[in-house]
Amino acid sequence: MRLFITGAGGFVGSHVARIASDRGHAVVGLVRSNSSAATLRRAAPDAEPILGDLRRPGGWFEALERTDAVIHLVATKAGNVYDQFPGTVIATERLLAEMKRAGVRRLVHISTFSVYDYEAPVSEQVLAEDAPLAQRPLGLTAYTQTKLQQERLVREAAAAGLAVTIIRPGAVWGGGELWDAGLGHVLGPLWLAVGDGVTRKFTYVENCAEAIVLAAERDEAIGQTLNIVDDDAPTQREYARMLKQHGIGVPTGLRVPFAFLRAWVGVLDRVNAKRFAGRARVPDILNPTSLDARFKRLVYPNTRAKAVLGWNPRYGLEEGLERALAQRP
Amino acid sequence: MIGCGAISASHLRFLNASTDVDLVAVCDASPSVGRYAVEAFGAPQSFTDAEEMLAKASPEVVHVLTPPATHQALIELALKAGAHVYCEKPITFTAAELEHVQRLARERALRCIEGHNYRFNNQIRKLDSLISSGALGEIHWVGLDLAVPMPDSDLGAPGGALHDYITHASYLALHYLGDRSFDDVRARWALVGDDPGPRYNDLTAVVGAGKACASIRISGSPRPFCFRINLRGTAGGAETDLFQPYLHVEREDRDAPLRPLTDQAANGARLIAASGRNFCEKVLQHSPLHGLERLLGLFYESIATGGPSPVTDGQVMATSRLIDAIVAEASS
Repeated sequence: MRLFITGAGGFVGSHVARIASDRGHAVVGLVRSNSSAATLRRAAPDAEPILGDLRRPGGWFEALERTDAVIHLVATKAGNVYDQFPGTVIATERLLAEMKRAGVRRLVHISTFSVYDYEAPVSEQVLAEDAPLAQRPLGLTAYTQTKLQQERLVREAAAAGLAVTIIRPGAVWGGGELWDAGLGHVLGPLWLAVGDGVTRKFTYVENCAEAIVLAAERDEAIGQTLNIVDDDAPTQREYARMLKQHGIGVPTGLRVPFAFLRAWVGVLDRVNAKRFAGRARVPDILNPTSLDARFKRLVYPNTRAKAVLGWNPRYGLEEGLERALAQRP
Repeated sequence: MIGCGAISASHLRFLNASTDVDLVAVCDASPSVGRYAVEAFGAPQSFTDAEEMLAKASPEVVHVLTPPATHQALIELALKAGAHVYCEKPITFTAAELEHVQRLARERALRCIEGHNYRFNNQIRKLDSLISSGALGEIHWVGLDLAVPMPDSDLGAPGGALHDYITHASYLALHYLGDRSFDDVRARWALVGDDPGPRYNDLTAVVGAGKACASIRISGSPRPFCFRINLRGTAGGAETDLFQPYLHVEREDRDAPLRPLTDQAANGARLIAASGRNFCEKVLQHSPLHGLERLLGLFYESIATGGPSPVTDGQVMATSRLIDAIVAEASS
């Protein structure tokens, strides 16, 4: 296949490009800077980097015309809603319009677990693909709001006939992202280990990237939404211990029971709503929905992804860590 | 409202809170952005085409909040549709373009103002009352230091990315020079960093007006970001920062020899109080843009009462002429 990958110089994107190349696909990778282009070249020497920005016309228009499918990873993660809107939502709007013009009929869209409604009750604490999406997005983090808007555009394009697969990866770890995979909240030298005995929805980056490429290859994936989580996801405590055993520096842990923090955050949220009309801006860790999304005790099955994609996480936790350490600069 | 980017949130908050103004429509080239304004702020309808919006929603006032290169055409559309205009800075890129726009507004008996919003901030008002009380004497030095996040493109403007902030610095310089006409301008600009996109992102300018002079420094590289204002007059000086507000005052008074000491004590107390207040204001999102909502209130009031505009045509033109002079000097 001829694949067009947005965000191909990023952490996940560069792995997707390499695996797609290894599987015989012709890869064109959209990157925003020369350094991202260099990252892509190192990861996938056969891939063709194209410098550009989805929000602006450029060489990527022409590249789309020789594409069978698009894997869309681009999103902005930092800043407020208005900082993230252009790089996440407007970029997707333009991409979908150009795909239509160029006659590209297949899209694998990378979404996030953040879009789920963590306030909604789930049976047996199981959060699967058919769980409802956030109903009151305006109180959520900027990332969640913009990813919800982005996914909405993709669903509208699917309703209009585009062949779409939506992938929702868990906390992706590997390479240079060993610590930041949803482990908790770091305050200076301290790690707030919130609910550190709860299993995390981890996925090792190469496992996740393989699932994304399989989604582009398989017709059975069209119309599907798939959560990507590895089999042997550890608890935060286990993961931190494993990092330490491999000589990776981990901040000093301060254990905070989830229920304790959640109760206080709930009180703060009510005070904010009643006293300040919700105007008080607090760190994500003090946002009840964000806290639930990251630390609530839930089970994340990966059965649908396995059945639809024929995917089995190739690397276990230990093996993934050894590969990640070997790939570190 | 045309253009629903970041600044629109302040406009929409004002419009939502106002009992005298009804928001009739928003317009943005991106349908998703317009939809967000509808859902987040209750705008009744959203358009992607300004002409269609003007024809169907028939607004009495139009807020132009789009990228600067589109301002002139959109203002002219709005004025021809019979609407007053509030336009974000820079209203146009040159004084000649502004003259055309102002003539069009005058011919139609409409108002068209540029967002000189920082003039309406609390800190500026405090400095203004110090000046009008005579506590600082006649202002001779005006220092304006802006360390600000620069756009990554040149905005299609003659001053490149600098044009995003040069208006604020220019109208405040003129404000503290007593709205006197300037008689000398020196300026140099540069591009700092590897990205050629902004074209220019670092400016140093000196503006002379009689005995007084203003120095303007704008750059994207110093941290943390600040908007520092430093005034020195014949009887004293005052300093503030619009991003991290505080007030520092020093005065010389022959009849009160202890004044420097009492001023120092008062400055210390104000600084401590400002630290707590700034933290609370940051949490409660009382941003440096609070002057914008105040300016919008005065603008709508002036339309309703027929009173003078809070920003006059003369002030907008003087600002534009100063920018022309800085651009000409820096280009030479």
